[in-house]
Amino acid sequence: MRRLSAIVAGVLCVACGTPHLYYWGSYEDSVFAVAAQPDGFDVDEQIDELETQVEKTNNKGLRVPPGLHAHLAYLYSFRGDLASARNNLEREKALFPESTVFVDGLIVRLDSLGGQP
Amino acid sequence: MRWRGGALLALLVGALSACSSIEPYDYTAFRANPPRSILVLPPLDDTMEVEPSYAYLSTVSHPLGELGYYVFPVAVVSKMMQDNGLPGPAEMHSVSLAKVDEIFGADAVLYMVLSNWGTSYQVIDSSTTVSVEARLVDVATGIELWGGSATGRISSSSGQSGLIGMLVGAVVNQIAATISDPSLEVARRANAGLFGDRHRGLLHGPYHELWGTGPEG
Repeated sequence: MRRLSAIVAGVLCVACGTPHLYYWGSYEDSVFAVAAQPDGFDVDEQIDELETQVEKTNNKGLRVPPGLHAHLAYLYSFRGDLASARNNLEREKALFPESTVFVDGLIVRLDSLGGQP
Repeated sequence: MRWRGGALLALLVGALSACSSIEPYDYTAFRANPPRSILVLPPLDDTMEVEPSYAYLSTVSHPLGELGYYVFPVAVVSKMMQDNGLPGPAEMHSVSLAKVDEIFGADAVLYMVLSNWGTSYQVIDSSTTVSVEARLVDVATGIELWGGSATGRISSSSGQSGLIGMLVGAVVNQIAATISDPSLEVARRANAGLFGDRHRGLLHGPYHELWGTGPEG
């Protein structure tokens, strides 16, 4: 079912020819896992998958979508890796200055938890 | 095959445009306060259950991001609100715009309400639908910048032929129709109708090359 819809989506994309702004990969799957199944996600698996995706995105010269680095930061803080959380918040802010107020607030909270480098 | 695909697309487009009025949206308020960033809250759901809300929420970043907006990380935002004494979508929708400005610095908030999300079964057919109503509100002024509604639908009978095929199709879908691929797919279709409508859809944001142009590009 998933494969069929992927093929259909692929055909539609070719048909309309609209280039995408971002490489979304499994970001929304991870959002679903984290938001809709609060007790049922494997944080290590989510981090690994998104880190691999970010690397691939950057290697191919594509763009990481808005929110993804902040989402990764949340996953890292969930695992207790506050330095990686902070690093991803900084990357979110660098890519999307619209996130500044939000990200700065989160960094203050992280630092109060002991994540100061 | 190509022809059939074209016919299907034409039907789909026909169905989508039938849902919306022909009169174009009045974008005056939007153009006066064009937002760069959108805070998407978990939708209210008419069943008052929480799971459909967060499932739908997971489908909204992609279309808004591709339109050219900064979309705040939806899972992080809802987790953060839960940690701060706002247990569900209803409480999150009641947060003041002043607070949204202070905590998120968002230009606009997207409030959505879902209805009729589910699968209905008939003897040889079943269809999954969801309807969504949305309001985009300017954080600084409280003015509604844009609003719309749409319905997404997937019928299980497409692609099946003959009575046996139809029966098998109905059984398979009954098993598969939890909140998973088919349900998320109707949500994506509803989003496509909502944001992408030619006359009443959401205009492009600052990261898109069509920023500042009309609804038809």
